[in-house]
Amino acid sequence: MSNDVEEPAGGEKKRRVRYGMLVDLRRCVGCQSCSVACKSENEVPLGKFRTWVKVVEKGRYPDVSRHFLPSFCNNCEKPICNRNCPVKATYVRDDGIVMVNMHRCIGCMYCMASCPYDVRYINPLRKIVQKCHWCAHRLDAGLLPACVETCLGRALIFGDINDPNSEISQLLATNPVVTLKPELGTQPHVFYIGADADTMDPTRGVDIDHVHFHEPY
Amino acid sequence: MEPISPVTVLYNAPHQIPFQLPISQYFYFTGLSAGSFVISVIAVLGGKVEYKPLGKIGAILAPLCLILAPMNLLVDMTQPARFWHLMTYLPGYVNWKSPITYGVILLSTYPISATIYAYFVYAGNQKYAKIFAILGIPLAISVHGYTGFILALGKGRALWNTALMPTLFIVSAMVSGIALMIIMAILRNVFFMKDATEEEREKDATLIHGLGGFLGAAIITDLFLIFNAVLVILTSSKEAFEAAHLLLWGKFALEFVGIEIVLGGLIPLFIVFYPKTKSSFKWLSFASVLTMVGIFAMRFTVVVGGQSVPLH
Amino acid sequence: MKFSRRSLFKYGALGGALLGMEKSFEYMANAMELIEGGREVSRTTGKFLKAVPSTCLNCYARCGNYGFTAYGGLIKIGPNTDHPNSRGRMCAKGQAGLNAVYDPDRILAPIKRVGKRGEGNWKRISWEEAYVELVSKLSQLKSQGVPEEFVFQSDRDITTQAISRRFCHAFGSPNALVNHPVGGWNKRVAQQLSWGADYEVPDVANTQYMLIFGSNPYEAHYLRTSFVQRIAEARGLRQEGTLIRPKAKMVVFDPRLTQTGGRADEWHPILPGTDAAVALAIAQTIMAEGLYDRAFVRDWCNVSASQLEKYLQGHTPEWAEGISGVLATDIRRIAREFATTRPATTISTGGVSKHGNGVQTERAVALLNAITGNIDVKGGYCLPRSFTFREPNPLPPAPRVRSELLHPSDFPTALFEVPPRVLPTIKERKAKVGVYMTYQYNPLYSRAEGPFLEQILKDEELIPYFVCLDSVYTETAAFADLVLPMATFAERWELESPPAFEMVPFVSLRQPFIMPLGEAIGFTDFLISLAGRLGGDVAEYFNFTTRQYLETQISGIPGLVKAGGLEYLKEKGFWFDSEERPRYRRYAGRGFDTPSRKYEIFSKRLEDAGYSGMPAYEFLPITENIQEEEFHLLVYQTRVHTHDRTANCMWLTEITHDNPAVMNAETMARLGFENGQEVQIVSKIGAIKTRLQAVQGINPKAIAISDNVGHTEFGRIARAIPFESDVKTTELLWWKDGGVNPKPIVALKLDPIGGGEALMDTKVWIRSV
Ligand SMILES: Nc1nc2c(c(=O)[nH]1)N[C@H]1C(S)=C(S)[C@@H](COP(=O)(O)OP(=O)(O)OC[C@H]3O[C@@H](n4cnc5c(=O)[nH]c(N)nc54)[C@H](O)[C@@H]3O)O[C@H]1N2
Ligand SMILES: Nc1nc2c(c(=O)[nH]1)N[C@H]1C(S)=C(S)[C@@H](COP(=O)(O)OP(=O)(O)OC[C@H]3O[C@@H](n4cnc5c(=O)[nH]c(N)nc54)[C@H](O)[C@@H]3O)O[C@H]1N2
Ligand code: SF4
Ligand code: SF4
Ligand code: SF4
Ligand code: SF4
Ligand code: SF4
Ligand SMILES: [Mo]
Repeated sequence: MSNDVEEPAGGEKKRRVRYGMLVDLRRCVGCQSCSVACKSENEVPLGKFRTWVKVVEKGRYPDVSRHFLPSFCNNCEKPICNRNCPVKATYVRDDGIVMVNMHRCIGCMYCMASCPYDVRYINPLRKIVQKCHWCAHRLDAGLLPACVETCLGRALIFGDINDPNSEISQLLATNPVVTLKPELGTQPHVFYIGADADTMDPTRGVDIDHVHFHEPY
Repeated sequence: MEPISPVTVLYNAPHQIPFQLPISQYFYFTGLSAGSFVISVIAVLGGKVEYKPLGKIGAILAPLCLILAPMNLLVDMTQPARFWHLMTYLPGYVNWKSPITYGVILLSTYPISATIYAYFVYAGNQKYAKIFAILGIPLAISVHGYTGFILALGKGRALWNTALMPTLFIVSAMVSGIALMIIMAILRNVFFMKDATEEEREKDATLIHGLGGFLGAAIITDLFLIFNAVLVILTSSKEAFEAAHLLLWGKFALEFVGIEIVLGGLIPLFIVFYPKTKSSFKWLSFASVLTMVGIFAMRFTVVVGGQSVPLH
Repeated sequence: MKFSRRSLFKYGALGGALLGMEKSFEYMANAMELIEGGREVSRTTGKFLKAVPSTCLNCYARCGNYGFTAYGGLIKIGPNTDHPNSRGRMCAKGQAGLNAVYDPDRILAPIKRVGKRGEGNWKRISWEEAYVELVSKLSQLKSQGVPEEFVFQSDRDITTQAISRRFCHAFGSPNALVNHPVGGWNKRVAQQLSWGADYEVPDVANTQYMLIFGSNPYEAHYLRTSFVQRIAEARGLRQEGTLIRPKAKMVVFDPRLTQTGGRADEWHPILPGTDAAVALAIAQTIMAEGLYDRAFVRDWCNVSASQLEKYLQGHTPEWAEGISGVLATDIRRIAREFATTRPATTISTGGVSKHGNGVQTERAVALLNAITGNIDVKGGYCLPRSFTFREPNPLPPAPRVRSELLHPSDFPTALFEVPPRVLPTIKERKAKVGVYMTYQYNPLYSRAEGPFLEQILKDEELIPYFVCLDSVYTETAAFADLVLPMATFAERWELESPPAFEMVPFVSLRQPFIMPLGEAIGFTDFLISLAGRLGGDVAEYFNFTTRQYLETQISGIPGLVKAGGLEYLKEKGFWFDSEERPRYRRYAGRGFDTPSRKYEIFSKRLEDAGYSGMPAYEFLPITENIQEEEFHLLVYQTRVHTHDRTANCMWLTEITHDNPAVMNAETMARLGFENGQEVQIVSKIGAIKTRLQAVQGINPKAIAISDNVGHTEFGRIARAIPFESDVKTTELLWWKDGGVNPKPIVALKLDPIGGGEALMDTKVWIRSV
């Protein structure tokens, strides 16, 4: 992470806030409270999710285990969705959150087709693209994102990764973390501790010819 | 027992495939347009009088297909009434980095230049026709090339995210464009040249047979590019391999191997080169129809198949 | 000890001493820099919304929540950060409480049956008409001198028991009955016999070892949110003072790989119904190897160490292996670990209690805590701490008529009524009913052998008048004569005192976020009006308002009264004595609440009734010569639902809407079935259709079908029918399969000791269709 420093007019150095999310899978209980909290907070319509928790079973009887993977928008440092949105409906806030301007979005779905994490969806009522924005409206009011607040296992840790004293920075500094598909260079800002490779692999454990895709509305 | 331990996904959320049939059709029509324009231009620039009719057909088809193409886009957009957002060329409004923006520019300039071109071709003004032909060529190629960029920059999809994509799209545009031209030319020859002389018709026929050769060449290039693409995706990332699986022996095998490669590639190739069939209008039009169907299958498998590998 | 998580230490205070260590303990501190709960901001205006603190009841954990309102509507339900039990967490079901309030299929007006019972034809009537009818039916019983023929049965015994008992007694009927309590009836009976309390609170946050028998706290458990968050905490490093506690070990016995088992250190796919054998073998090892807590056994158990050792002699790990399939070496190792790791606790719920040997198995499991001295110690197996509420005086005396419903004569050891026997007892004409009233109880969905119960409810001779109080049109309501719309937990007043995890009892208030929708009314308000209309004695005993009733309830808690009583609760949502510190070994003064004042390893009551007085492994007939192609059917709870009550919550049903029969992949292959194949699951009493799902994580002798889905009434979301409504996006309901209710093939079998349902004792086989 670069140490972004802005120089405001006064000359006094102010650090840029850069939010990040850390998912500690050692603590996740796979309860889906995050998914439902988000539905309630952001009026996410049926059929769509801003966060969902993949549940995987692996191993051979009797040596079997279960693994979880909550997914969010990674609010990438190099968001391909933002690069590709033709009308600047997708834009990036100073704190790194990738936003969608609901009045500008034309619903071309190019961002959905380009995002490597499939975290965007068309809201069938508003007819625009939406996605997890780390509850920017809550952050602006000084509140934690709704999913983080309610997480049963306290597996979701959220904060400013540019603040060396923040809990998330401390954890990032002292734990092995991974992100999803780092090879794509999007620089995701959702970090995982204890993630399982088989669970992170989108093609493991599914019959690729019979994946159930959602009907478009 | 399998060597690796079993993994079962017990729960996951279903996702929507964003680009569906309309986008495939959009790509198809831009391809047709670009292809027929280029053939028309070659005819016009070639300067020979006997090519003229071809130039005329192409000049009509190009803008026509280009009117159909964006219709598909409008239908697909969830906010079609906001299409003008795409053309608000004010600072901060349009994203110059997005391939769709290149497309918007191209889609608004190319039809204009193509129409002007068509006007001059029909007006018989060779000089201006040539100028607009030269102007139009890069536009036409870009119009289709950019659609390749749309996919190539969709970095989430292993099948799309390759530098080959724009070239592949241009070549396949040529293939479908030539095929369309052949059909049109044959129709003209059979139905609209009633009062032409035998010689004229003969000339026209050789011309069409020549186009058949063109078609063959384009198909070979196309197949070669597809071969390259497939060979690489079979061995690059895991997602890419899964995409190859879907196309080669999975869910899209019928569309890809069956329709695109065999029906739309190998069989027409055989027809246009096999001495007994290559000079028959019937066979030639049959081959062209097959090719057009094949290219449509290609658009569909690339667009929808490319998004059928789960991302999470 | 402090409840506020914010005020606990901050990360960083630990200094460099921990460098290089795995750092997860810091989660105990609320180090996240943003505010965690109790506030909600409007997405459109950015302004804070009005927040009303209350208590969730989408399951029995009763977490602290907030209702956020604007323009008289409920916008969101969120967690209460300061709540001592749930500490700012709320599970998926609690979050979806909003769906339960704005359920587009809710009953919002009284309806009266027209046509035959169960035909489904209704007439909307006014509350006035409803009261007139109800009063006339009840007065008739009174004038005939048979007030005991008024039978009331409600959902478990937590919120409403006191006031409904008051009503029944005032009316002259002893029959204030409840449904199964949380964790199963058998557990309650077992616990009462052993240590005189209804259930235990495993102090998991402070424990070092969790030995789990048939419990699935990651997905279910009756204290869900408060419980699992503390388990998650124990599964990492924790700091206590200057001490760092290593992560607690978790060992799970469950025939099915649950989310708990799947994340545990060890999962043992035990054969269903055989936990007592394993528990006794663990006890045997501990006793034989002298690893037991001498002082506790000597001072606080009613059996001496040598007696116990002698009793356990034959119960070796090898013996248990033969019964349960759990390796003797594992049993021995676990016994040693459990006895030598301090503190340690067992956790056991449905998988133990919902069997025909539930009481004995539960007693065998609890025994492990006793012999290792983990009873009511920090990090151990603790007695519940909660407040009891006062009742307004005068209290109506309990009617002296004997009730076969309340004290079934064929269950002498049951201690309490036997809820699943209520309708069958009526059918057998051992009890006469004039008016049957249910509140928040849906036996036709949740009880075993629903179709059989349906016949009883349908019979107007057996049950001349049936009133169903609910907020949803349930399977049971479909057979009622009168259905009255009740307020949901978001619209009514109640006091709660759930067992405290921080070991300091607290009071939690449930208050309305909004006025009840439509014509729905709160249960307390309903009883008060009904009593008023009945007049006479009954009215005398209900001469108060709901507010006065609540005030009386807490009047016996001086600290709370001093703090401001109800007004304090209305503002904060809960109250506890902030001066009080957790006290452990609470039995040390007066002893346990048992006849001997000791922890009763040996129960005279059981022996007198002809059962083993010592905890014993009771062989279940189903296990006997079970054939190759026969299976134990396990019915279990899923992580996003509570029994039937959440099925019409769209955000939950979207996640879990179907319930394939989960089966061991190898067994499936061997028997020639295919993953995903449509099959019939057949038991002695019926068959259901579902599809098979192959997994690795299940005992080859078991098949598991989840509870919670497969409704035939209850609402359109529960039945997977898309429709347009005022609630946004119900028209987008996308799943086609609404699941299947497993109960019609679960025979109504009970543990003869406790009277609890043996829901997991069904033998089934598979037929292809
Ligand atoms: N999400 C959710 N939470 C709930 C509820 C809910 O409906 N949904 N309901 C609440 C209520 S009322 C209750 S009673 C509790 C129940 O909570 P739990 O008791 O935790 O849940 P159950 O699913 O009843 O059973 C637990 C496990 O026992 C296993 N089992 C079955 N037979 C045996 C056996 O013979 N031996 C062993 N070792 N295991 C066995 C099953 O596979 C199952 O995984 O949950 C409460 N919390
Ligand atoms: N197959 C299978 N069956 C089981 C079990 C199992 O594990 N497997 N578990 C058993 C156990 S342990 C239990 S405890 C029982 C539970 O069985 P039930 O007690 O019947 O189920 P609940 O869903 O808890 O609640 C019953 C009713 O309360 C209503 N209700 C909920 N909230 C409100 C409210 O705020 N106001 C009003 N008026 N009504 C409300 C719901 O609409 C529902 O009709 O099921 C048992 N049945
Ligand atoms: S995860 Fe996808 S939608 Fe989110 S910022 Fe990255 S590329 Fe964009
Ligand atoms: S759908 Fe909306 S946000 Fe996405 S690329 Fe198109 S205009 Fe931008
Ligand atoms: S941060 Fe907010 S928008 Fe994102 S998943 Fe969580 S609740 Fe939803
Ligand atoms: S709420 Fe927390 S514990 Fe539950 S599934 Fe989400 S991340 Fe995991
Ligand atoms: S655990 Fe139960 S009481 Fe707590 S939030 Fe969930 S549903 Fe509500
Ligand atoms: Mo229960």
